[in-house]
Amino acid sequence: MAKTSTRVSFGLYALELKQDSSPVTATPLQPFSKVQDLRTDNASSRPYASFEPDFWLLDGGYKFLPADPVSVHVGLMSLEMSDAAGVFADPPVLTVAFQQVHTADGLTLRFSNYTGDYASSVAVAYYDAAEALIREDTYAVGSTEFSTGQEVANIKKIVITFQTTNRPYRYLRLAGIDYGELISFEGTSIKAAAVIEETDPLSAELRVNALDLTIFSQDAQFSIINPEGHYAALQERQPLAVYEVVDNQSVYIGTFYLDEWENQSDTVSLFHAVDLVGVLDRQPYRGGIWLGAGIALEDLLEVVLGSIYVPYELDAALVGTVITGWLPAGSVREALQQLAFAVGASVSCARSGSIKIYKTKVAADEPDEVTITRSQMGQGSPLALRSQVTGVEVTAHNYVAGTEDVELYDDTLAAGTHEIVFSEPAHSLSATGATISESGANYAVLEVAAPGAVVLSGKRYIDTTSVTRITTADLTAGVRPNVLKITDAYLVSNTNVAAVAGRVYAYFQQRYRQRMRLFAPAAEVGQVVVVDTLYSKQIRGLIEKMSIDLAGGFVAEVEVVGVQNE
Amino acid sequence: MSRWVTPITDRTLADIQNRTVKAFLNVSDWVRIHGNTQQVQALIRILSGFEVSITSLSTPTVTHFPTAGEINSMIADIDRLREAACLPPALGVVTLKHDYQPGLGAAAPDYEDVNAWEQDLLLIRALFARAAESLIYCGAAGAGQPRFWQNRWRRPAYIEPDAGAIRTPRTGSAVSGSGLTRQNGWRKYA
Repeated sequence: MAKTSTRVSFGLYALELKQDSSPVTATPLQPFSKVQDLRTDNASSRPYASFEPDFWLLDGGYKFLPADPVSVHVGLMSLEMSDAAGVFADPPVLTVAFQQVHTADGLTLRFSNYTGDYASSVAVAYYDAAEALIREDTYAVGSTEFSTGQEVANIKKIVITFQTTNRPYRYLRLAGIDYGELISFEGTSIKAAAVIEETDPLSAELRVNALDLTIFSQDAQFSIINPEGHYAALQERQPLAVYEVVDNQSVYIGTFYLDEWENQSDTVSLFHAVDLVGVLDRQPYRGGIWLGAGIALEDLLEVVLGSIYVPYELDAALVGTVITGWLPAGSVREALQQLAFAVGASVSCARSGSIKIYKTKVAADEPDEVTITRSQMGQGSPLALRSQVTGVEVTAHNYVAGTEDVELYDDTLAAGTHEIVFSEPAHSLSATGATISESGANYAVLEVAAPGAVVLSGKRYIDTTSVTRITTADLTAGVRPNVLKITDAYLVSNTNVAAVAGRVYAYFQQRYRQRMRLFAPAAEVGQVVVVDTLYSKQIRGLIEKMSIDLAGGFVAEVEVVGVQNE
Repeated sequence: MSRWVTPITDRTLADIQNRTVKAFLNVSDWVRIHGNTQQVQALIRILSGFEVSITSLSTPTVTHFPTAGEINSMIADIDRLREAACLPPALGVVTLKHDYQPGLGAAAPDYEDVNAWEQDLLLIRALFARAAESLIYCGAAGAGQPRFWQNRWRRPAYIEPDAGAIRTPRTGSAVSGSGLTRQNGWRKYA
């Protein structure tokens, strides 16, 4: 029986320090390394394969480096490798300068979480505005996340020297730097920890993974009514990194961001946190319209996610997919859902610090990645039959620029800047009573010099719709027709509607839902598995949901949707 | 050309989870796999005369970041040898994926894939020597040639010398149509 425990790291970081920081280094770096990733926080958690001794673990997670370094975000990666003792002959030095003078509760360094590589000896020197040394300390680092936990005031510059690596012959891999304290809870401090991981293969909705955590702490900093306490810092988008230690091997479960906090008693606190997809639900996106030649998926994702420094991984099979149609104004999560549904992609943050966008898998047609035998399951593994979908109707939207002038807005506005958001896309905008400082297909920003009537005019895009149907032939008598209708996928046009309809229909023909309980599962959400089921049969399906009790022994309630394995 | 080195074909999930020496792909693994590929290429050339082209790959160093193209070339070499060996899939040889792409969203080889690369090399080496015995060496075949005519070039199967028998004919390569007297030229007496 494997021994398990949970570890959760809270980041109490001062975001204003990061925004004011300018990390630079004179140390030679790998040509694809960008020190600015440390400021924008978009270094990927996934490693690229290299021939450093005993580095390239054959778990399929070590990827090949793209030829174009622009798309690579690894943070700081040194050109020099440490020696057989893990010592750098010319230690890499990172200098972080600030525009303003700051006080930091500590300095947190995040190294290569996935590979377990870190700098084992780090010297940190703080300087004030007069370039005078405030203090200098050398730390022995023991994990991929390290916090000095030392408050320093009047900082204008920090110089960090990475002297050794924890393993021999390693490049320095620094994925993130934060200015604040990192607090870790593990063992008996964690009363309960449960994670729900979900994915919708079709991306008909973008599901949010969630963490529910109960901790025991006598630290007054965890009082919800302490204005100087941690709660004040944790209100913002602060990461909670979650790990499960199985037989002394640390398994990275994911990074979550605090959503709600409740103090049940003086010592017990409850946290509800969501993953990056949940964070994107609060991030506005103005949308747009792409007609004619459209836009490549990777270019649009760079606009939607890259511009707000959200790390993501795009399946190579989806690169080059052309998008045409309309994205309404809304949240980034909604935009990503529309995109993923139209191109046939699934989205998940499970076991990753970034958003993974990969080609939709219809389990019946995919090779299995993991086999789950009856001996691996707990007692009671019910098999259910989902209701039969006898057909699908998908509406294609085909937009052309209209020529008729319409009034988009007519009202009195106060002096100042106002953003008008449209319910339908428009073009050729003009305004009276205000000037348009910025506009798009879904919005116009108006500058009103003096209060008064403002009229915003423009031309609509005309949406011509057509419906594509796929229905089950030769329905047996007594089967009630159940046709699924999809009408509001605005990036589905005549060019991709047949593929979308086929995909949706194929997915819903997978009627078996297998539930099971697994202990310390190797399988993950989004993987195709073959599962032993009742009557000595097997189900080939995709794991759509895992409810994992981390503190209770890494026990997972798993849901698989698929077909009978032939 | 390097010598044949026993391939590693038994990596398991437990190796990956416990990070044993077999769990990683190192320069030494690359050297072994590429060296064994050259060995199998030479074996096929010697036994059948087929010249299977393999990519000239330089030996990486520990500082190298392998590209998808390099790995694809290495696997494609093995796959071409598999095709040239004409071994039936029932014997365990498998078609290898060699269209890996760069990028975080792309698939990358795992331990089962690497097992398959090395297993194919192992099987080709072990089985092709025997399979080659069944090859018909026919120079340039002509339409309508009778079977016995083509048999002029047939290479007889190698027979293990009988340790016990004294008057065992040892014929090196027998000449089609030669008489017993001529074959006795290689007969070995105790």
